[in-house]
Amino acid sequence: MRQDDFAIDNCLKCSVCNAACPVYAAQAQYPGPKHLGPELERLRCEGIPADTAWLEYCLGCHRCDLACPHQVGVSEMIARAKAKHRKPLIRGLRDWWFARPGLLGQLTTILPSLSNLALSLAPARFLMSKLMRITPERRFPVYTRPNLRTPPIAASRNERPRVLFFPGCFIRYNKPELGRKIIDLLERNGFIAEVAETECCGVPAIANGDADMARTQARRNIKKMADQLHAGMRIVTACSSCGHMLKTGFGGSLEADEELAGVAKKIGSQTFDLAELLMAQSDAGALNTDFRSSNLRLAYHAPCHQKSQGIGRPWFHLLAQIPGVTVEDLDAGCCGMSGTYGFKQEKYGVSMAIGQQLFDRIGAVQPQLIATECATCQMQIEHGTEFKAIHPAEILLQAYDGRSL
Amino acid sequence: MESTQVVIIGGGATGAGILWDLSLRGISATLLEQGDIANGATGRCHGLLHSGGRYVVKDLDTARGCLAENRILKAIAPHCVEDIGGLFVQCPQDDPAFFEKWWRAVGNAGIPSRRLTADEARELEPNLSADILGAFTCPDAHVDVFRLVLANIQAAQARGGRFHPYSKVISIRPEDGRVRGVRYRNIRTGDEEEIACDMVINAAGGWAQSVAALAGVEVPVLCDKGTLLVLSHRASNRVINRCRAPADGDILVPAGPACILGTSSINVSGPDGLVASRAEIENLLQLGDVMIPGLATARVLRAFCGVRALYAPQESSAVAGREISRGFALIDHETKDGARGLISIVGGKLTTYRRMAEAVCDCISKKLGVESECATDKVPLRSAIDRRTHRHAARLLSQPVAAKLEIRLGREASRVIDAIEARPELAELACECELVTRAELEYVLGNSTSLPAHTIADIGRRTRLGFGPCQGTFCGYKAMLAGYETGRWRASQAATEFSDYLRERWKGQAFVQEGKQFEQLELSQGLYDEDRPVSAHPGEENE
Amino acid sequence: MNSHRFDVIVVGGGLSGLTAAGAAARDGLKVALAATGPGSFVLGSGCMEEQEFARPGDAIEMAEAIAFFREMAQAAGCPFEGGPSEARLLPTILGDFESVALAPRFLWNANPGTSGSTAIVGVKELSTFDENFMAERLNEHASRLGFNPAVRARQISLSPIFAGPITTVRIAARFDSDKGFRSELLGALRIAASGFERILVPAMLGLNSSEEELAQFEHALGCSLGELSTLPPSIAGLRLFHRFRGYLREIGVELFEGFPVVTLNIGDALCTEVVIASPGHPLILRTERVVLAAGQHTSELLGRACAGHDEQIRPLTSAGTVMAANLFDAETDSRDGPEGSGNAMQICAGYRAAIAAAATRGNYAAG
Repeated sequence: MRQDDFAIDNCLKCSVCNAACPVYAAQAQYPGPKHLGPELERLRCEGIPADTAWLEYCLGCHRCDLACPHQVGVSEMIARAKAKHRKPLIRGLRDWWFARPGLLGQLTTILPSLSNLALSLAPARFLMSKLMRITPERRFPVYTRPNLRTPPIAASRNERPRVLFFPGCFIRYNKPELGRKIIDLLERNGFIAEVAETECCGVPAIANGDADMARTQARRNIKKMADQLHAGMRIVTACSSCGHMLKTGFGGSLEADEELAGVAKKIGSQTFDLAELLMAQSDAGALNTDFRSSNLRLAYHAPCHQKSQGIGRPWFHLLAQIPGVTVEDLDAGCCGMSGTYGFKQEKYGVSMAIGQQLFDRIGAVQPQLIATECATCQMQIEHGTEFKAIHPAEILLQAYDGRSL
Repeated sequence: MESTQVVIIGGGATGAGILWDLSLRGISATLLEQGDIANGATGRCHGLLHSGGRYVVKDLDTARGCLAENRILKAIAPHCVEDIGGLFVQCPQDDPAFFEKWWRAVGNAGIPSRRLTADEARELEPNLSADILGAFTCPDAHVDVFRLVLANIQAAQARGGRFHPYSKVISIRPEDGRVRGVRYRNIRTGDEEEIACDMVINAAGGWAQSVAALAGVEVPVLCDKGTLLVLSHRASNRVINRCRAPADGDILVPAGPACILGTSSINVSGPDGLVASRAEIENLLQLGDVMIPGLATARVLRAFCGVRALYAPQESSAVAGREISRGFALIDHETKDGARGLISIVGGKLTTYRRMAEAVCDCISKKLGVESECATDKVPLRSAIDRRTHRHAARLLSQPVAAKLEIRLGREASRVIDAIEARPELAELACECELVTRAELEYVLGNSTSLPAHTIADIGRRTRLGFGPCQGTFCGYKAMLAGYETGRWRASQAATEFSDYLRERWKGQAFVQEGKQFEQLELSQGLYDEDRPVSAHPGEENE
Repeated sequence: MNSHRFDVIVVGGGLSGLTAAGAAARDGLKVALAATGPGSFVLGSGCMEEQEFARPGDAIEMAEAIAFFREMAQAAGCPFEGGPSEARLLPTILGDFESVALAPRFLWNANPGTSGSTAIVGVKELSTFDENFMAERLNEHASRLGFNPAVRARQISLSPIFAGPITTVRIAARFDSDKGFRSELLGALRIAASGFERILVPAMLGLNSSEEELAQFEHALGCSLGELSTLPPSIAGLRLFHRFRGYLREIGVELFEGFPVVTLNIGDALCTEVVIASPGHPLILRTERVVLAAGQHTSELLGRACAGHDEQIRPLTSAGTVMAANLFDAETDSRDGPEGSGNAMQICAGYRAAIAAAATRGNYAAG
């Protein structure tokens, strides 16, 4: 029998997944992961059309999986059901675009200034709201020329270990400068980083129910990485969603293809979150600790896809090593943005309701700056509070240079 | 005192079928059942609507009978039947000569069948073993036994037929060599009642012998026990049969979101106190594993036993369970024992219940001097849901919940929908595994249905509440509260009902010593702080 | 600092593991806790039944463990009330009474008592709790047990606030995050409570609320407040878990959450590594000592090779030797399920194992 079949058997209906689900708490009509996952899965086996629009409300945060004591694999069941779910035209069209941030990025960065202007103009946002149900409450992130490239490597540093840096769509199309900073950070810690010529990791595709796109992207990414990956070379991600995706064999999107699934598994075993890599250096006493002291009160927010990698909280420990810096672990649940989710008009309210607990906690802590490695968490925090949020890598780098933030 | 023309004893498929048939013929009848519904073999079988393929090699008549009834039941009770089709799978361990015999016999019997290669079979059913050699298709189906019995009874009630559950017959009153009436006791209240009647039909299955004894006659019945396992989810989309001479563990029947694996054949002394041994259960799982690898470690929700009541007159007493014909026996006690007005009907199978009922009713008509013809092969058992209710259901409920509601209640779903319209909070699910809304729960507990539930197990039979992986741990509690809130039970009664219900549920799961169902059982017992040790043997399927 | 190296790793986040982690950290050790989520806290609320304290021979050990646990609970903002000789009758979800020796404060308050008028206040839209049912049941039982609390039933409605099915989880989450809702709830309960000295509500007052917050709420309510157990998910249990978790974080215990420990690397009779099944590649934590508090999971981890324990509760092989000199098992020899009546025993076992582990300080070669 298929492995998936066994997974449904693991559920004992304890409902801890419902208690952990941010959407369940915030949206009273949401059936909850227990129902959308294992309960409806049994019915899908029976052939009952167990489709419901509520599937679209799953954040894909994986908190249900982290809470489940029996390895039911709830979020994967929901993701599979999402892929079969049929949406009405407008949402379907909108989500088609949202499933392809790579394509969106390529198009907008042909003429980035113009695109940015167009996306920010009131009439454009009005139209997007009316025609595509994209919430007018939020602004699109700014797009820039995608000019992140592997820097030339000086011969003197040729023996240093290489890593393949998987940048993800946000860095590539919105903030290549951050990508360069990360390469710099890696270099200061003894790594030569090559930029992977990859496309979107596939998280937005899965989140928007486009399993075919996720599969296509996975195949293409594997192929592209194969060209650049040397034996034993580690893959580094700076975005926790990309990291989660690579570590889980592209989210199980390749399970039908045994050979590719095997390659994906191998890729997963070689993938490290940037903080994970640096922390390993630190544990081995090899972290570049040439920090300038600074009196900075930081707060750290762990993105859901960072928690779902099960690596502890390395950014927290890294930041705490900067002399003079205090770090508060916010530990206040999901921010509610979940990538493209928070941009959707019908989900905007839920998104903000979910994030309220985090916003309140930030308000209570009153940090000078918030560190979080997920770009959309940053967006949400800046949208819901008056505080600034940046990637922890930037904080480390600036500590090296003694620049104030 | 109640008075009717015919009293039927035994609320299984046969008895319910007789009630329906008589009501169509305009003959007044009352059905008495000691439990709720389908208390005996009917409620403890595979729920397999045979195509006849299982009997085609050894018993062509039974096979043909099955095929005919298979078609009829699909036409008159589509809401009770999952018309999923079946496969007869050729396993390498079995006799290839039998495959050919089977194929020829199926042609003779007129059972539509296609021959499939192993690959084709596995394309239809990916979970089949890689070792199978091929398969034959057949029009097997699954029938929800409770829904079927309910449908017969409710259709009869609409035409004046009467049904008394929890009514155990304690005496049959023959006077001057003829039956005059029966006396029964309501086992929930203890009250005793009498019914005057012209005829008594003993359709009590495994209890036929003890009922016959009340009238001073003999009906020799051989009780043959079969153990079945309910697996947590559907391992196949079709009925999977093993293509060999009928033996243990060779049928897997999808049943709603679960599936049922069985069965065995062991002589027992009577229909009560049945126990499934660990050895039987292990054996069944190993056998199932041959056809679908992995089945042996799949999650088993419960084990239950049912009894085939086989007519065993003196001449065939030496013959063992499976060998006795699965045909039925209609015993006219007037000719046999000089007891006028008493008929017994024994044997047969679920698939042919309607045909058995027809035979009995033809006999009854003749005896009563009434000219009538059987119409049960043509009249549908239930009218379909009306369009208005269907649209409202789609508006108020999610698709799967609406789909299940319509299948279960048909036209009666309108009452549930109206209740939800008036009080939207009733759309909340009471049983999440089987998608039973609070409104439906209140409906089956209330008085607008002609067959209200008296216990939580009754609710289960009408809605499938508690049939899922939690086996009533969570939904049973909500059912208890619903029973209290609708006034069916006082608080202490409700708590007792739930406690009794849980105990029965636990018995059926008690055989597992490890694995997920064991954990589920521990969770359930821990939650309700039950100090009772997990017993080693499951008991009967009972309310 | 080394983020992957610890003095003690505790495997399992139930009552046993949380107690062990707290006890080990108390001694200044660097502790990590590996847990896959709230586990059995979703089923029960940590109440300890009177009968658990009836075992002969355990009394002193149990008393020390429970005393420690209570200190920790107090510090975590979820104090326990009662004591082994102060058992009281608390309502069960079936409306029975059970004799409980120790319970979280607001569950402890749920004793209808022999004096003072009590109302059970339910929420109209909460279908898993029926105040009339509970009141009727408790009154019946009480009269059989010889006291007459004359519990009444009252109801509040929350339907305008939630636009869908109301569950205890939703109420509790709202309680935590929405001050406005908290005051609305307070207002509604005040009305229902008028004329009563005590009200009992289904456990729903926050998934992470502190003792202080609840005490404030009770004070503003103007009468005594108690919480009743409901069908899972147990809000009181989850609250206990979240408070303990937050407290352990505060005292420096590092938490590794969401993924199970799958292997214990034992070499030369020392368990030096604990392997967690994180996605991609496993997370390997190095340690000096390991405390196993993983309930049913423990036997899987030990590979069923365990044939008993020594006086330091270290698992033994069938040959009678310790599997690892630094491996301690918070085992309870009862077959009770994790959510059942074994709470006190679990706490005792966790405490015992942590003490044994801490006592071996400095006895191992570095690394």
